[in-house]
Amino acid sequence: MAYLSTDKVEHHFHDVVIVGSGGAGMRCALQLADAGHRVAVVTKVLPTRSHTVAAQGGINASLGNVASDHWHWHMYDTVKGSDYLGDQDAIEYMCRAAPLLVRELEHQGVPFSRLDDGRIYQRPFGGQSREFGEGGQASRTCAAADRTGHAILHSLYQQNLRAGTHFYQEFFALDLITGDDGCQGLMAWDIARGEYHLFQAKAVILATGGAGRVFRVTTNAHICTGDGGALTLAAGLPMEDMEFFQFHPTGIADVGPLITEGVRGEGGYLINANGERFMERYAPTAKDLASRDVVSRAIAQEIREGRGCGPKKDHVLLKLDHLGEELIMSKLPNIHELALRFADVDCTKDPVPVQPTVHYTMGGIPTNRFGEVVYSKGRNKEVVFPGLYAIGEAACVSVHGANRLGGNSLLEIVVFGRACGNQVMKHLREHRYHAQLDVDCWQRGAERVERWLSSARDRREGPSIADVRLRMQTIMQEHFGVYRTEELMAEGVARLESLAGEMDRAVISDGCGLFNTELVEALELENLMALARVTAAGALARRESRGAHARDDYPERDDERWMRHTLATLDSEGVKLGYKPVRTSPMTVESFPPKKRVY
Amino acid sequence: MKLTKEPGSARSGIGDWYWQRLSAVVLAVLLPLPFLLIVAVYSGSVDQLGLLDLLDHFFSRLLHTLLILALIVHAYMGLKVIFEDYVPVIGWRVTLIGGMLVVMSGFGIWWLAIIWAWGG
Amino acid sequence: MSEMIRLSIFRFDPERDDKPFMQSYEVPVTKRGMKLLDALNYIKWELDGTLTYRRSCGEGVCGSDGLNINGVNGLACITPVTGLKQPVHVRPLPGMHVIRDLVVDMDHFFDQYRQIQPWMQTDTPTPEHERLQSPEERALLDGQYECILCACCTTSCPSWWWNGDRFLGPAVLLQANRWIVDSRDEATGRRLDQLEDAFRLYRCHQIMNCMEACPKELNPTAAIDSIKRKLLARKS
Repeated sequence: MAYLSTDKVEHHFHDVVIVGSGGAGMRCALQLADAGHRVAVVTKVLPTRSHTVAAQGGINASLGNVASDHWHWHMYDTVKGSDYLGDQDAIEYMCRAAPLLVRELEHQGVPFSRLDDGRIYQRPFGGQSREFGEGGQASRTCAAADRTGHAILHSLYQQNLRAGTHFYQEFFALDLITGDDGCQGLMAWDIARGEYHLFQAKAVILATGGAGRVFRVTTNAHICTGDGGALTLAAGLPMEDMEFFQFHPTGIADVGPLITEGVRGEGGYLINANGERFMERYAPTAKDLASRDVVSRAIAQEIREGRGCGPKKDHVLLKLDHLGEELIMSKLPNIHELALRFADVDCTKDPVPVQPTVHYTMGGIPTNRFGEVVYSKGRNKEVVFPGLYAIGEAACVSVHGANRLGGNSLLEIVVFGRACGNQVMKHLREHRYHAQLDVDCWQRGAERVERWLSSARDRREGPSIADVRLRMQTIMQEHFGVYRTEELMAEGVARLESLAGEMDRAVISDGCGLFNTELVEALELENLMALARVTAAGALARRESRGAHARDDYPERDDERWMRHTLATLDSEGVKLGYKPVRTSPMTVESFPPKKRVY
Repeated sequence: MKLTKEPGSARSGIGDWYWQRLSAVVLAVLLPLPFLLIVAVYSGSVDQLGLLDLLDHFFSRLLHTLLILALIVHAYMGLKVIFEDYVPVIGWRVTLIGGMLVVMSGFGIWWLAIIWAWGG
Repeated sequence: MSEMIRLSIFRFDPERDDKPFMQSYEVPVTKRGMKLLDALNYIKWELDGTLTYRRSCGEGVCGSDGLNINGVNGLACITPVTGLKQPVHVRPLPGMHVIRDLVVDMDHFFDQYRQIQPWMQTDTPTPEHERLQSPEERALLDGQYECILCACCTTSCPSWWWNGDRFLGPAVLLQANRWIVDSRDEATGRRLDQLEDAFRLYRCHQIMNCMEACPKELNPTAAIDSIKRKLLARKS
């Protein structure tokens, strides 16, 4: 393929290219590889390093192993949890598929914890109820101790080894190759060898995970930089609902690592400086197992009113020592380890200091329930962009709406990983040949890398990427936290836009071609910056409080004006916002109309 | 992507492991006996003729044979592992292990000849 | 907060350097309970952007940042920097090909993992519901499935240094055992067949560096012994 003008670019042909090797990407790869397609997984890390590995609590499915359960109740909880911003067709699809897919995971070898009768162990999680909120707490979260994500990711990796999926490890995705007839491939950078690779594919699936690293304190891995979303924005497509970042109530104070909701599911609870179990005031029924946005706001409120713990009164305590050492060591061993290592607390004896910490990106690349990326064109708000798909945390289907329920993220990745795989197979039947590419389609991707490498090789002066990143994260942390106001966010947007202007002058110091991680961090910063900008703009515009987006100046939900999804695009002039309605019609059942959320 | 070619199992592991431990057990039981004999000789409870009588006995010869075989098997197994660990070149490994086998067999035959007084 | 930590870090840039060297850095203690990864990040972000290492989750579950720290293998993200003897010598995992600085080539390690066919193998028809497993049977997997494939144990094993091309190493054998003891897996016989080899399995001389090195406090030596006992039971 020399006509692609340079032999510096190695050319690959695959049926499908999947970007990202987390649970969603690997579940999708498995579906396609088992069907005999040539699947390439392009991932910037080794597959088992993806952030799915850090998921702890479990995966929701209405198996009813502990107490009777039904997917319809699960659906109700998810719609309610999403603060009625979730798309109900997708939610129905996910909740219906859950039992099948969780059992399939079990068949694939996931070492779920067990009940005495040998079935999968399920624990209660926040926001779960039976009989549409009337029947008390449900136990819906299937768990492998508190290492469920690890167990699932490793099992899916193992299955992909069996299926013969092709992994391009430590390859960084630079640019989507798009044309009039959709997405045709991907430019990538081989981090270890420092070479360009052009992947031609009939379908490209973005499974790149969340973007929690736009904030300074997060439970997310260093690699959670929203790369897929930034690729989508660069291709002129929108991002959906990015203002909704979930704050997990129980990140270890100051450092970030997550303490699973499963701790509260097993009977742990939160106390303030007075030793009071304050969740009883905020959520009289569900108490500590209210949904995450509710608990996070309650903690933030306690801290604001001076009832925080510690010398700076900036956190509360999670008490679980009363559960007993035996239960902790059998059901929550990883929590014991994390608390010991990062908080220096033996949780079998003392409470763990926790505070709300950025945890999950509810927003993402807009898709329908088949994983196809959609955009607005004129009056049609959901036009499919052919050949481009998004799944997992990178996507916004949207099953999580304004607030995700614990245990639904692992479910989402397997459900929509598989659904997307099936949809891609249909697409492949209709598209038998690779599209003809533009001669210089590779250049935009290569320029991204060359711009940074030349800044190092020419020893240019300018702000370091570490400096810019820290400033960006600090702005996001300070101006777009748990509680938001017009004034604070407007200032945040202004600061962020001016900081984005500095990106052109930013430099790196490492000009080496081999395993240049500073280059990777620079590319990731570009991605983060794009997502931070759409997040900030979307948050400022949304004048209501819904789910994770809580405003002091607009404390109520406004279904009249704001029960709609934000669609943000980014071009040289800045962020442009558009909106589209929520899909309130489920596939088969009656719609759940918005109600006041009480836990 | 570099791929290791799957060479399959040599089906030898458990055999080697088994023989090494079996010979170790035999050695543990039989090796103290000659020392006991020496102690007995030095303490004067057995004189030269008594010693010869003891060694001449059929059962003594049998135990003696067992001891020497176990010793050789055990030493062979142990040294083989050491060669395998420390000699990376397969050619040298095979040569050394082969050489060791020849020397040890020779030693064994010579010793057995003494025990059973072959040719004498 | 003016307390300083001295580090001596292995550096090697194959484009520029003929051979590796150790470079010294001084890093302030920025917070209580600071980890070695925080120190490396400080160097990369504040002092020297060319320092190269892998990292991902930062909380000890992904297994990216296995390093040799003062001669002992461990994960940088969960190793507290205070309490380490100074200067802290940080080297890549031993016995591995270095790509650059602290980054090593993991391909062979993952190839060996692939060799044991680490996926559930069953012959009986897949049931409609989950395959049942009692809590006692499930308990056999504790201490096995938690492995994060960081390679800290395998690269601390002298037997693997000497015969790494054929000896599978502690991490992979631990995973082999994870499938052998799983009551749901039906390929135990085939798995044992594949391991019955003087090199693949029996190169383990119970040196026990692996259990010392494991950051998740697993015990690969015990797993290897368990496989050996199963092979013996099968033979006897």
